[in-house]
Amino acid sequence: MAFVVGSDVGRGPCNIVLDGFDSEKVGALTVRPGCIFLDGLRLGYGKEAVYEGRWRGRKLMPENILAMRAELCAKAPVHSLAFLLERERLAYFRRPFDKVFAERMVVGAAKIFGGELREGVRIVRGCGYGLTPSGDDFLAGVMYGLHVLGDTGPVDVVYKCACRGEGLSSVFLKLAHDGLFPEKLKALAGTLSRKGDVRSALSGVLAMGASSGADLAVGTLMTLENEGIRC
Amino acid sequence: MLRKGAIRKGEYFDSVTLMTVGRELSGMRGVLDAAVVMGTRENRAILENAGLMVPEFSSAGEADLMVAVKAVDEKAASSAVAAVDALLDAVKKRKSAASPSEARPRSLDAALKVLPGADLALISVAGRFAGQEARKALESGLHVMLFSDNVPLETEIELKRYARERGLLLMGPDCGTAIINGAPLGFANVVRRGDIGIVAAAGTGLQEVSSILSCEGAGVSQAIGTGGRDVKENVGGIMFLEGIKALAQDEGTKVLLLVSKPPAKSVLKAVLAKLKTIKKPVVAVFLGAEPELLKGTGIVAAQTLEEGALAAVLLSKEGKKGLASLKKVLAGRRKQELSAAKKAGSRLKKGRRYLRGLFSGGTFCAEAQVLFKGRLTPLYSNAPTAGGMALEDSLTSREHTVVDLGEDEFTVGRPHPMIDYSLRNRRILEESKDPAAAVLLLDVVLGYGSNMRPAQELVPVLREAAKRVAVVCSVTGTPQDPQGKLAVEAALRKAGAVVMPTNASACRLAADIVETLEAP
Repeated sequence: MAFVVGSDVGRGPCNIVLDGFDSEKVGALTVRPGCIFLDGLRLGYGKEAVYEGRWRGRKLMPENILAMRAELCAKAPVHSLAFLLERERLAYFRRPFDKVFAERMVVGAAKIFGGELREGVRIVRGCGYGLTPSGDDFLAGVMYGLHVLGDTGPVDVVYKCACRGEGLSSVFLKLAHDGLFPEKLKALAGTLSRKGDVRSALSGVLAMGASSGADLAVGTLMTLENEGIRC
Repeated sequence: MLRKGAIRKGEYFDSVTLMTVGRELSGMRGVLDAAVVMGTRENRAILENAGLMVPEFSSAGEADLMVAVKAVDEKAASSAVAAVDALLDAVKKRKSAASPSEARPRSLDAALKVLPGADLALISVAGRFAGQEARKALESGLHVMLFSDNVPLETEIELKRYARERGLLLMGPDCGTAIINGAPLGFANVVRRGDIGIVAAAGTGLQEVSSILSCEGAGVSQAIGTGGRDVKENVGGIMFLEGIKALAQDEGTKVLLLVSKPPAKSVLKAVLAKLKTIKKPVVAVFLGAEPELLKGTGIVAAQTLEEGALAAVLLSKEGKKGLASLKKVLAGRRKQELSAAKKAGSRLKKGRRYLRGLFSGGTFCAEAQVLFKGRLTPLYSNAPTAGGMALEDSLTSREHTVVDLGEDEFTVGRPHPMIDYSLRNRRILEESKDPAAAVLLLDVVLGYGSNMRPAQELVPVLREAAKRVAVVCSVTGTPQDPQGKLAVEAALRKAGAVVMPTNASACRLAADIVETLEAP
């Protein structure tokens, strides 16, 4: 699977970044080594244009993880999963469907980080709004968090329990399982391990989708704060 | 009470759109609750628990959209389901209309109300109003990037002194570019973030060094532009010094890179005194300055923007020991240039022997003259420096000539040549038709603010010119720029141009080609 996106979306393991094209109007896309064909138009690319999504582990700075939490609580969209970090945000989830969804997420997240990983993932997966349901974005974030920590043992368990078929979510879950980071998340992970601007890196992640970026970041942050997952 | 559901096959919407539509459906007359969600098994379970499940949802797939409504009666439920498509469209339209780019306050006060946490104002108004607006911004505690030109010198001095008193930066006037906390301002490129801090009194110089170091895998912490006049005697380098101070204090900056034409003696003295108090490594590119000026100061003195950027990269990546490999890197490039020169020179007709440089960036024109000094004589320019002679008529080249098309004489009543290529394109064709012209030297500057279709506009002209002369270009920018450096370079090469990695490299190659023609 490949996505034709603009530079506002940015590079990623499945993204072909092209500016000046209306991605919604792209008909046929063929990818060959060294070039792509877009509705018959040949566009070449060099090796340097190929994005490397793998994260190379570094030691994290606890103060930067704290900064990420503060920024996420301040900037995440109201209907994102940031209520898992700040319970006051549950006030935004008042309608029956929203309430049940939020309660389910709270229970699922507690199980994931409380020693009942499989059960927790099964509760969270596929839940919520959007083309990639919030629960799946969260689980992708959890897997990316595990890669950042270098604690990849539980990644297989999360993936196997989360994956349900061929949909778009499954592609993103597979990328997270394989440790292939979108550029903006990789940049954020980078700022967590050195003195850098966590705030602007997180803004990049929050700009991914309507609430997907925030949900992904919540999953990553909770994994980092819990220093991994007990299987 | 009645529950009703509908499935939309293969319809995709983001989470905010679906939540908003669900909320709007819930607010319709007679509707008790509603939800619009993708058809995952888990969402069906949530609908069940929320009292919104209907039997037809059991056949929904993951890629289907489920519309669930609970209403007081059939009529209300049917109306709600029927309204879904219109609501989805309306929300989509509202979201695109409410994009941040549409929010345009008309005054500084109004802008501060929209964004109360702002700490920097970018001012681009007519020069006669710019000073007043800058003062207002400084009084509000904001750093200022003053893009406007034609600001009186005394206003500049007054504003800079005031800013210094308040611990603020006043970048400019005529400050074309800066990168602050990762945000590109004015004409700026999409560069990596990193630990190299730049202070520059040369706009395209800043773009060149930041792009080179980004392409080399290093990054920029902050890039502070000061405006070209800052390093003159009368301004006294106020902001150049404040910029150095800011970067010295900045925890994210490991290496300082200073870029300017040679500062006035008194300014250089003050800069050196300030640098003595700083422990971080410093690279200085004072284009055209005598290297002796910095001897014994511990500062790495670079002759070109390329050398300065590469030195900063090595310091950033490997520390001082990394500098040992700088000569080797530059020698490798030199070898490539000499071999390219031989090839390009052999294709030219006899009688062609002069270089014509047409620059959109003033710093590049200055750097070219520094590099051609002693190699190409006589050398003429409309912006002479480093021994170059004044061109009597900027529209007519003679012998070796380099022209800065960004000078006021070319930009009155028309956009800067980095944006509008029409004037230079015409000149490219004219120069190539001069039977004495051998090499055309060009800069192409990418990034925000610059021409968005450089390849499309240059290629037809270069293709024509390359039939008669050797065309040598450099492309300032990064692969991440909106125009895409790699695509632009590929298109220019296809049109017959020789594309070099930096302006300095392009200049050296251009001089090499001319020298192969002059050789007996």
